[in-house]
Amino acid sequence: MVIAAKLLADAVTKSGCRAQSFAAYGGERRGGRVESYLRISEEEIPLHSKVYEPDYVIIMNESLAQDPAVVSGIKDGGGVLINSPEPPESFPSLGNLSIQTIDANRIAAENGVLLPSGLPVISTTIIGAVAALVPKIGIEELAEAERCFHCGNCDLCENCYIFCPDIAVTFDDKICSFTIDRNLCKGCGICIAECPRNAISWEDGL
Amino acid sequence: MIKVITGNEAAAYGALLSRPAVVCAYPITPASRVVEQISEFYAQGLLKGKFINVESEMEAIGYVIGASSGGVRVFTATSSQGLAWMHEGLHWAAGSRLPIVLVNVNRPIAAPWNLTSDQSDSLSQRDTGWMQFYCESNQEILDSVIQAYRVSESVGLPSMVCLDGVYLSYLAESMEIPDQEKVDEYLPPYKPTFPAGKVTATRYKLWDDSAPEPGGYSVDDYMESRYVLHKLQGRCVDTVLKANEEFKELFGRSYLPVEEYKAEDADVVVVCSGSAVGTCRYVIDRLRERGHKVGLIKLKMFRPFPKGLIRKALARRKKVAVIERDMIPGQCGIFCQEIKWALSTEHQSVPVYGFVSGLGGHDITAKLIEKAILFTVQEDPPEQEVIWLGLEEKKVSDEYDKGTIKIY
Repeated sequence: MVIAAKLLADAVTKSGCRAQSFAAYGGERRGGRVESYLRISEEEIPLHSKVYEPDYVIIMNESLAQDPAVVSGIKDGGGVLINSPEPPESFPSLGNLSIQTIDANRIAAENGVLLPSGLPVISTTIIGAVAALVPKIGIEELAEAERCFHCGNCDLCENCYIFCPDIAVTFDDKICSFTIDRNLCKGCGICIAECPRNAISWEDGL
Repeated sequence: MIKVITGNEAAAYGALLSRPAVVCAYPITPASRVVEQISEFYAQGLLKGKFINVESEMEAIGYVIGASSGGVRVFTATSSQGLAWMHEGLHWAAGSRLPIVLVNVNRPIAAPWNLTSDQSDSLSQRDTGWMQFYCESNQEILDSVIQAYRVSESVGLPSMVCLDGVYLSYLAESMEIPDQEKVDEYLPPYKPTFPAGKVTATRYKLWDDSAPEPGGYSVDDYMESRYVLHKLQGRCVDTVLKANEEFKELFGRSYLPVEEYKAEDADVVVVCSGSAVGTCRYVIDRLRERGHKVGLIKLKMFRPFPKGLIRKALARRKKVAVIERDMIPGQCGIFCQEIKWALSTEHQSVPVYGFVSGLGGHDITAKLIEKAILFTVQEDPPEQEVIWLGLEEKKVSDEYDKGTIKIY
């Protein structure tokens, strides 16, 4: 969610607007409730506080739609987007708000956008729907912003190190990066598949 | 180049563009990202020189003191407990007149444990002799780091650039990363005015024209060295103003030690510092639309306290409200106390309303700021030195409630 807001902020900035994104959560833990905020403006954004009166509320986990606090403060004419396989009518507790739903879990699963654990990645999936909902966010800018997360630069996430079945990937202190020991590498390519930033590539003829 | 980056990353970019020769810092929430980003700059080969891994903040300040004494530009960053752990080093750095730049992400000091936002950590270091600057936005953080080197190296005192945890440190916003060539023009390579490698005690001689012999001050001259430290404070504000003027010419952005916003004809002004300043601007705009003659005084520089500028900005007002993210137990906020002191020396009788808010990461919302300003406009000056703004209702038992003013 934090990344989704950041990507959207990147995208609107690329189209010439100003943007601001941040998140609020307690101690980091799995399954915890996270709020992230996004402000978009054609002018400088002076506010540095949480968003209390949003134009849009995006609910990533449909169980949260039952909590009235989640949509409290939403502006008149504002919209709610819920990640759910159910139609908008199945959320009567939200009253007269304009509701749309999108089944981001299914879309992510169908397109193979999965975490190593097999869970679908809903954050980058749902922002496509957000772009359709919010007029200031262009899909092309969004694609460009998303590309930044696959820029080819290693950020030392250790995926290659963890997933290599042959312990061929080791960390080299001298260059402060990972290297592949070619005596041990069997060429399975798992590291390439697991690298989130396209920093590893095939080299023929070795 | 326009980029969307967090306050922590902005601090790291400020360091990158300032080309420090030595960076030494120990990661701590919510400032960890500053150090992580800088280590990435080193890994990518963008930053030359040394990045030293250490085991604590005490070591980090020790290393930067050592490197700075050796005559190179240095950078470090920390937060809260980490800054407290550096405490004796902070005195040493200022006493040795080392132009160190430290970024502090403002986080509460435990107990109870809290990892969010509160300015008590850096304000509790207010008498160490460091200059202190509080930032409003991510752009200001980056620009302030660059300006801080300029000022520190000119005056010969260390600088602390402070930013609020969470509301700036984790907040990403669109901002401009200046060109390296332009920054190089503004901030030329550091040339120490003392021979590199000399022990720090000699520095007083080299910086103080009146010291009689080479060799500077020693044990017996402690009081004289304090006198020099005291007198130096007077040069800081002018140096900051000059550095900012040149920065404005080159980059088009300006950050005054004391900035007035829509305050020219204001009867009531609110004084604020840090990330809540932007929210104050928003509230002032709305209240002006409704016909209230209110304005904002942004206090960027806290040490040395720019009392002349503060007096000028506040002396003619009917009422002053101070909203701040810190407190002195049993008294008011720290900014409020200093402002009252600055006004008292001129025998001014401007009523100052001290609001304490946002402690431990509580959000200083537009609504709260509006309530505080309207309270100041409408109510007579209270006897109490502090008005609690944004306490959560019913969390504290009633026995504490006698004689307190709370605004929810």
